Amino acid sequence: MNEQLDRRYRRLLRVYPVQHRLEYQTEMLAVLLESAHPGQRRPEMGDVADLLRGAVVAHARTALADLQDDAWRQAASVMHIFGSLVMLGVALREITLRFALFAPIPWTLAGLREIDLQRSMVWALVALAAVLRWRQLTSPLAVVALIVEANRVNWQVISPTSMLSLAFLMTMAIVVLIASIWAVGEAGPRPRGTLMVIAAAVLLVGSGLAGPFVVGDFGDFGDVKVGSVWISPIIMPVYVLAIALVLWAGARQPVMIFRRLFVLALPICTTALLVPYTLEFMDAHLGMSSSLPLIPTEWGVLIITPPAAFFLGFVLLRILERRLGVVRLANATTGDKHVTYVDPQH
Amino acid sequence: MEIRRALAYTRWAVYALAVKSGFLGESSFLVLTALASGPQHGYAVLEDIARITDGRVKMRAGTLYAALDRLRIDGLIAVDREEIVQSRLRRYYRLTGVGEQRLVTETEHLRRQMAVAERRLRKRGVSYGTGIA
Repeated sequence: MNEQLDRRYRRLLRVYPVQHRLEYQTEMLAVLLESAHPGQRRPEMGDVADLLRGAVVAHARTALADLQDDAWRQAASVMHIFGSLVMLGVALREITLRFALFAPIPWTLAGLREIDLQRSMVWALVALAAVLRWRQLTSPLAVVALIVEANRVNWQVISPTSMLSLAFLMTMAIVVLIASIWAVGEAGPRPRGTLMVIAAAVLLVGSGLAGPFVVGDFGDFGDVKVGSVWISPIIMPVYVLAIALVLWAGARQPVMIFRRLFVLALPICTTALLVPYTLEFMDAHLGMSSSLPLIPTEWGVLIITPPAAFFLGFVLLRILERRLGVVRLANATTGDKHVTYVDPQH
Repeated sequence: MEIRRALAYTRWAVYALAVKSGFLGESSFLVLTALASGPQHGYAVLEDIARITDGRVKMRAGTLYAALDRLRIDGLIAVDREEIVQSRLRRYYRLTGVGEQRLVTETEHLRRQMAVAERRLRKRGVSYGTGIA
């Protein structure tokens, strides 16, 4: 047997997922060596390309199988409920904010916009359908909510830069829609922490009543700049408390679901950070009469970042859980609680 | 109601694409054809495929095992037995009942397509074996 060729093929086969290697590596190696020409020392280029392609297919297949497991579906169900409740809070906050800022006479709806009312009603229905598990309605309502969110972007009049200020909420609406489709058929009990998220939504709605203290164009004395928004120190603790409640609700889920929730939230978080911290130049033009349209690169970054963040989180989670699984297995086998890491590659 | 109809149509379209329109893929079809003659190990399947296709298809290990894995997951093939020959593992695969039925369906489908192609080519005045009439 040509040991050099054997070693090189073994190294090449490491690109396959562990499960695939456990199942097929020995016989694949046998087939590769049997197919080799006499005296062959290196893998043929055709074999290398074929094995790499096969490894990509195997990775994609195992990833798709992972995404269909119960933990992911349960996490999607939690994200659907929590996400829609937060979006309802955000939508209602716009109403209370406008009420406090523009209502000329107390207790009238004079300053309110039709789009805000529509948006609040739709998100109320999405949240209700999610919490009460109206299976037939969850995804169609999430689609309507996404359309209403997209409708807030003033595509013609100002410029697509208005998309920037809404990108974070659009991403959240898309995540809620995907979660609603993913969680179809999930009929477990309501997740722990739902009341906390409802409380966070109520805090958001209440924060709108602070009206003039909430946002300012350039920031009044003592205001804190978060991203591109100036927030009054009076209202800041309310936002911090609302975020803390949502995080706490997430942390109350079983660890497998919590990890997946974190990955599902990554596209939302990265978009929220992307706009003020990397596309700040365009963001600064928002609300000005001379606002510029986004250039293709910026559109590309805006569109690619959320799925890329999810993909990266998903891959890292798989690696982490595989390693944790191997460590648990090692602990169970050796009975040694101090074993911390076993590399599955060896 | 409309949504249900749309969902039903989508499901049908996916099914039609995946099952009825021969979405099995050439490599999977050839592996099933090779195993139709009896249980075979990986290297024998590769050689058999080269023979079936008159050397047109030279399948490699990566493609073969991608197909074998897919077919095993779908229940179209199963492991028959394992042997160690010259210190190398030989795992024999066999066609299952479901696999046999699927091969029948695929073959029928290809035959129908071939008949249509043949009719249309005849209409154009093309005859087989003797070139253009």
